Amino acid sequence: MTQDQLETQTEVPVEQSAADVSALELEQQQSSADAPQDVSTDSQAESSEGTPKKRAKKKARKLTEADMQPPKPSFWPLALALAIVIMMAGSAFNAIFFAIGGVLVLVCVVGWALERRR
Amino acid sequence: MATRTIGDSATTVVRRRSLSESYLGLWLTTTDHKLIGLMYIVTGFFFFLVGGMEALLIRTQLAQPNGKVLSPEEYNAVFTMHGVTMIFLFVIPVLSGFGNYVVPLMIGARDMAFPRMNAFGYWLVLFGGVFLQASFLFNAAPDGGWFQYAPLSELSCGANAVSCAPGMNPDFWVLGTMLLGISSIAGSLNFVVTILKLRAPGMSINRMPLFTWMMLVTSFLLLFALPSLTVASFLLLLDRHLGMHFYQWGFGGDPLLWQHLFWSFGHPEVYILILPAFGIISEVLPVFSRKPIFGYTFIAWSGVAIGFLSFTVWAHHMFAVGLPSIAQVFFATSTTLIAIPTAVKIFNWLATVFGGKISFKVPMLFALGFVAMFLIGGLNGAALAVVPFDYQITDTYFVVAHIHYVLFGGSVMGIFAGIYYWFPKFTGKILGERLGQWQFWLLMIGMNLTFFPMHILGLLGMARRIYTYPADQGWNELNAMASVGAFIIGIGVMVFMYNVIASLKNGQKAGSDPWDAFTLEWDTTSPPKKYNFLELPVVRSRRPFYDKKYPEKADWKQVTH
Repeated sequence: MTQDQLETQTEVPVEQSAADVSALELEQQQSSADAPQDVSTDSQAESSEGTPKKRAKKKARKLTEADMQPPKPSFWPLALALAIVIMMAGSAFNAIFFAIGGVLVLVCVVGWALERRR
Repeated sequence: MATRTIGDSATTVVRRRSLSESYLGLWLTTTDHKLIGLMYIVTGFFFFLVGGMEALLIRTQLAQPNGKVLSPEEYNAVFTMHGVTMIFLFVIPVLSGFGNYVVPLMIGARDMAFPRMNAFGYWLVLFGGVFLQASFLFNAAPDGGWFQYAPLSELSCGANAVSCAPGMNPDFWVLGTMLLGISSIAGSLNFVVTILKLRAPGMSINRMPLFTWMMLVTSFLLLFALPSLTVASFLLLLDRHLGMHFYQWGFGGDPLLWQHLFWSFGHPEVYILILPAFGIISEVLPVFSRKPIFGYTFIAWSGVAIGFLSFTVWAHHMFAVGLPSIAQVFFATSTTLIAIPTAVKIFNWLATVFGGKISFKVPMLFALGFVAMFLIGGLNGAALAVVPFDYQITDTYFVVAHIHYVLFGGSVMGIFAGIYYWFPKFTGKILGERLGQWQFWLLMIGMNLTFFPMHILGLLGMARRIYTYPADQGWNELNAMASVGAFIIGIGVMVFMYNVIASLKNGQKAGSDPWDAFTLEWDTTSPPKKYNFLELPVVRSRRPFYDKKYPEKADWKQVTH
């Protein structure tokens, strides 16, 4: 994805709820207020040395709303870790636990892979 | 007759609260690098307390000759679990926690490259730790040392099938370290991809903060070192449960194979434990000296050199097993060589501080304490590279003194420097200065009182891992001194815990940049927003936030890099 595409990508994902959007906007406003009012580096960047290509690469870009979406929470990492513990403990102590753990690992891997992230 | 308003039921949408929206669910399902980082750090400190109590039990047992506090079996389990807990469940998780929290902020990223894998790594550490400690409940705690030497950890040894370790004790060790190994691989892969792919515009590899550099090197070390431990553990499991004999001479196996496989992981592991601490020190010293780091390139690349060399020194742990002369020469030379990049770092740190406007805040105290203590650990380590000397003091308390000067004087001091430095970023509060100074001096006095006498004990012939000793060996006073020191360290840790609680409740508010620091993690609120930065930062030098605050003296106006 090019820089321009990133900058123009402001559409909210289809499944994003209205509540999420408003919460995001609110948080964005708060962080604007919290942000330190320091001198921006943009003006310095313009007067800097280097090729135009390099300067363009360095230019700051505003985050898109898609960027501001934090990674979604997921239960699968916890579940997969637990399943692996059961399977590995079973490998030394009890074959039934090993089998149960193995099945759980498979379920968790599939669940992890199929989980929607956006 | 009651009337019904049409539309009421149609417009009222009751949204089911998802698990991740509850307080507990937030922590259980989070994939945010900052929360995961905090979870790593808190979990690591919990295990630090567990490992610390095990250390106090050891020192209580050894405080006097013919001690009776622990039985020999309990003593074996306690010293083994002390090592395992401190190495695998305290130092690595806490340093990973710092990396998780700080690295994405330092490089101007929104999160780690693989957020769910990040969470997965944390949960494995927690469950792996609980699994290992649960062995005490089954009266089967690992008791063969943190290195669990085979064939002593086999079910039975030799052609006559002498019973060695018939209980589940080694199984807990093998499976626990395997779980932690999977976690470390997941975490390392994540760090490598994050650091190589998600850096802010303009942050070339030569502008990365040194902590990020060291986390990158550490991650590569883990990726290349852990497979040999995993293989060694897997072979031991096969020996123990499927009747194979990889480590048994009587059946065509090799009793030294374990030591080679274990130490080819175990020595890089020492650098895995210390390199991130080097990174922390390289961040703290310049900020509190009000100077850019001296010799950035040398510090960064000496870390890489240490990483490479760390894979060539493993057999210095095995001089006493009777290696061929050529092997002894090779490993003695490579071990001595590794002192060079380490010394490069120390000289550069000293040059950074030299002539600086030094502020003796608590993070700086711990950083300076680190340099002094690690230097002692490094020097007595270089002594251990001398083969004839090593023959004399191998498996004595001299080695215990060395490893503790490196890991306590080095890693733990570095960790506390990092905690005091980044706590304001984590919580928005500054840790109490006065209590911090108390803690620093208690730890410094305590550790020197505990570990320095161990050098002399080792030279006097006190073997490590012994359960007790007779009164006529001349070791009594030195052991008593070491035990008093251990309890002083314990008091220092309690002061730290009180400081954390008091500062969280009533601490001074930090603001976003309490130290007038140089790197990007301070260019956002404390604690940072979920997406870290409102605007992706632009990097034009090694001190991007300094440039932003002081444009008239910006680094990029002075030098080109």
